[in-house]
Amino acid sequence: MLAEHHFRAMNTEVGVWLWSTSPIAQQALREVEQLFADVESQLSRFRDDSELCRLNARAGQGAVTVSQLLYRVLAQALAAARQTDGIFDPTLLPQLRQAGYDRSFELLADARDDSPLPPAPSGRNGWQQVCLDPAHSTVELPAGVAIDLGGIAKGWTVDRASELLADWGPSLVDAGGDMQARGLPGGESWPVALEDPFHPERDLLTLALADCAVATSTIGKRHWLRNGQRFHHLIDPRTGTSAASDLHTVTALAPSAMEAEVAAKTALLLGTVAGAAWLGKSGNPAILIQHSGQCTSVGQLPLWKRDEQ
Amino acid sequence: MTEPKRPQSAGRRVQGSSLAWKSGLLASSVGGLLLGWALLGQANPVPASTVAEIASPQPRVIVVQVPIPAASNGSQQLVSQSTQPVQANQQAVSSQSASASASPQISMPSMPQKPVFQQPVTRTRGS
Repeated sequence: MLAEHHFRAMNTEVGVWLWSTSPIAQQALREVEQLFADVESQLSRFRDDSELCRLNARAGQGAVTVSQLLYRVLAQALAAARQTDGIFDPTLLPQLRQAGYDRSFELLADARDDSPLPPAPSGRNGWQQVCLDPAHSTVELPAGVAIDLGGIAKGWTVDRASELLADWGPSLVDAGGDMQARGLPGGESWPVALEDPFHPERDLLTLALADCAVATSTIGKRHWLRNGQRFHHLIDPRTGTSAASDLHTVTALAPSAMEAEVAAKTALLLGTVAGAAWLGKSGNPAILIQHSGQCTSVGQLPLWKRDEQ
Repeated sequence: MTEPKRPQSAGRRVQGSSLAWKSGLLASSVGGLLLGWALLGQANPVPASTVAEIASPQPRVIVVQVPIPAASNGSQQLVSQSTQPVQANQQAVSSQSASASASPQISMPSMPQKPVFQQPVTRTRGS
């Protein structure tokens, strides 16, 4: 009854579970893998031939006609920037490169780069300068602005994959922690364990997900040293460098994986007090974990109770 | 030398009335027995299946009831062994009688439905 499929895409492990009696459910799971491959080929910033890289290369050269896929995801990312007052900013790629995250993390983790840091990119709030024309499906980037859709593209793909499987039965799509749970397999919620970020072999609790999404932002996975200085991939747009938040990890729930991704990242950048307030205002249940290990929970987390099974 | 004839008519009459009385008694007994049998039959009609068994006592069927996992098919709850092939109705009769004569039936409570998930499907991972 429960078919599953695992593959690697977007530099992470993807798992898909489908509760279906259909003998051709596996075909739907393979379509999900193809969907991830298609989105990655167009929106990856690590592929020189991707549409996103071609767009970034034409910053300052006028409007560029783009595919519906790139247009939609970029429009969603800019909408998220507006909703978070620019804390979630998809135009921080120059800052990310400046911090040293200029290649996929697998390559970055093995590299030793002690070259002097380049000067910090100028300009803030680049997201406000991006011009979209929905009538012609064009994007115009000002000079010096470059787009990174990494996290939000992954969440967007998870949501589309979940929609793709909707006709087959309840499903769970998990792309490196960005998850969308749809329906109730056998009348039950999807149990998803919350990993202890300091002891990955342990779980803090288990969530019961049904028709909702979850995403986790952390500085514990993608970090590196450069010139003896520690960097991570979460850039604070207010400083232009790796965020100095008191938070280590944030897991947030939302109706869609893309929204959960934005909520988790925004809260982590804001820190415990402002982040919890923002989450409460936006209506996203979450758990915030500080570097000290102290946990703060926001809203009502749907917990899986084994004794009710 | 002629013996005087014994009056046989009276004797014959006596013998004849006794025989008639015995015959009547026998007839009434048989009749009563048949009537009783008939009434008994009406009060406790014999099941058709039993009739089938009586009409065809062969073959001999030994039925052994064994515990079966709850998930098994109900038709497999009775395991029959026979030295001869049996017809369906005969096996049904034997099963019926075996069930009736077997030790007190243990009613198996329906098993609670197994939960879909015994453990989390996946884990959150930071990115």
